[in-house]
Amino acid sequence: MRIPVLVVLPAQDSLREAALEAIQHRPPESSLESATVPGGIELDASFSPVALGAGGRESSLESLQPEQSEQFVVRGFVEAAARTDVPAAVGGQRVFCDIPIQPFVTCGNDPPLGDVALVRQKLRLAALAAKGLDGSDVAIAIVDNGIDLEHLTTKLGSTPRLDQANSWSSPALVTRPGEHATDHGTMCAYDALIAAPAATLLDYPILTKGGPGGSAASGTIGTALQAFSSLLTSWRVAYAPDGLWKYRGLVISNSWGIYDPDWDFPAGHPGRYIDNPMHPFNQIVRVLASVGADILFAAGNCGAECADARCRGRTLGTIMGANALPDVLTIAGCDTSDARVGYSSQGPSIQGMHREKPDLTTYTHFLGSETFGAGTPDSGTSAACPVAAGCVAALRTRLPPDTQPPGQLFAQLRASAAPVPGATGWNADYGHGRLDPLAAANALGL
Amino acid sequence: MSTCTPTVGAMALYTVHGEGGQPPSLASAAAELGVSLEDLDAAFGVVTVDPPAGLYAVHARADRVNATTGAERRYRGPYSSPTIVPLDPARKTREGD
Repeated sequence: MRIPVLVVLPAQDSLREAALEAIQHRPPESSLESATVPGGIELDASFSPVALGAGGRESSLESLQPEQSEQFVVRGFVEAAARTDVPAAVGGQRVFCDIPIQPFVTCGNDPPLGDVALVRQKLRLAALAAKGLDGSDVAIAIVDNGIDLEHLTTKLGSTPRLDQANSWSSPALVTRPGEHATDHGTMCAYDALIAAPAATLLDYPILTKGGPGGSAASGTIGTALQAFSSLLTSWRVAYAPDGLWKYRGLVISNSWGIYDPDWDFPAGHPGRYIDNPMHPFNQIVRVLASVGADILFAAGNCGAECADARCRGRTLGTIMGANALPDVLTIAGCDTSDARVGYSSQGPSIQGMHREKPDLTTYTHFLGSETFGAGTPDSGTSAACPVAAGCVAALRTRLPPDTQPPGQLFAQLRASAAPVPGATGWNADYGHGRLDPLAAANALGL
Repeated sequence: MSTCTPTVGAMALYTVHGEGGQPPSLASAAAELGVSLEDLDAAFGVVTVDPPAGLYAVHARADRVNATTGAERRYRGPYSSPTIVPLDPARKTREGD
C-alpha cells in the first residue's frame, strides 16, 4: 500500500523557492521535480516544503526563514505492506508518519451523527429503489442474538417480512423467531432493511445472554457452525419444500466476532480458529459462499483511536477468524460525514488470513432503530455490516448468484467503491473505499 | 493464558467423514474417533460442513479421542470453539480524554 510520510531533507534551492512561494502566497512557479529525494520515496508535489531551521538544534526565528533554513520537511509516499512496515529512515533521511487528522473522531459514547434519512441519501437509495432494487424475494439472515419484530414494526411503521419457518432455533432456545428481546440483533435487522425494505428476514439467534468483558451476549463458534450448516442445508443441499432455495438470493449478515485472541486456542495450535483457514467454521463459510450465499462480516471495534475495552489495547491484526476470510465481504464503519469512526478495526488482518481487510466501509453511528433507547445511535461496525448486507440484498433483487457469484459481486462492489481522498487501491482504514451500491448497480447493468 | 485450551473432559470440535454422500451416524462418527457413543455430544449432533468432500463436524470429549496418527487417522481435530460476541457499540472514551 502507498503510505503518506513526512521526510526531513537538507536545504536545496528548489525547496527554498517552493517554500517561499507558499509563504508569500505566490502561484507556484518552481518545480519540486528537481529536488533530490532518497530512492524509495515518491515526492508529493502538491505539498509545499516547510522550513525547519536547524532541525534538532535550537532554531532562531531567522533560521526558520526559507532563505536561511538548513532543513525542510516535505511529504511523500512509500510502498509498504502496512504502516508498521515503514522504515525509520530511507537513504539516510528520517521518515515520519503523516498521520491523517480530523477535528473529531466519532467514538462509542458519542451521540448519533445524522439519521437514517441521511444514510439513505448518502447511499443514493432512492435511485436504487427506482430501479426496482429493494430486496424482493431475497432472504437476509441476521446471525445475532434475535430479532424483536414488534420493535421493528413500531419503528418502520409496517411489519417487515420474516420467514419464521426458515429461521433457526436450537433445542435450548424457547423463544420463537421474531419474538426476542429488543437488542443487538434487532438493530442489525433494522439496518439491513434500510436498503432492502422488501427483503425477507431470517432470525438466526446464535448469541444468548451474557459474555466476557461485559458483553451483552455471547455464543461459540460451534453454535455458529450449527447455524451455518442449517443455512447451507436449506439453501443448497436438502431442497426441502419451501426451503431457502426458493429465494432469489441469500445474504448472511454477521455482526459478531472475537475481541481477544486469548479466547481461542494458543498460537500455533493446529485447531485454532482465528488464523486457521482450515478450521471447520472457516471451511463451511467457504462452502456456503461457493454455492451462492453472500456472506458479510463486521470488521470489529478495535480501531486505534477509541478501541473497545475488550480489545485490551490490541489494535493491530484484530480482524480475525471468518471476519478475515477472502470469501466474505468485511465491513468497516464511517459516520455520516464519511469519516471512519475511531473504533472501526483497521487492517491488515491477522497473519495467516487474507490480509487486505476490511474490504469496504459504510455508515454507522446514526440515529436509526433506537434499539438501546431513544436518541441512541445504531453504532459499532455491527451497524455498518447489515447496512452493507441490505445493499447487497437490494442488488440481488435482479442479480441471481447463478449468474453473478458472490466473489464476482464483491469484486464489483470493491471496484465501484467511492475512493477515499489521498488513497489509491486498498487502504487499511477504509478497505477499497466507501460502499456505493448505485455505482455497482450501474456497472452491472441493473 | 488461553481461555479455550482443551482440558480433560472438555468437548472439542472434530471433523469426521460420511460415506456415499450421506452424513455419518453418531455411532460411525464415534467409531472414526475411537470413542464410545457417550463421549459425543448428542445434542450437537452431526453437523454438515462440506458435503462434496464428505466432511461433517461433531463435538467429542477431547481426552477420550484416540490420538492415532498417520494414514489410519481420517478425523481432524481438536478444533477450538471459542466464545464469540456481538461487535456491539464500543463504550470507551477516545484516546487522551
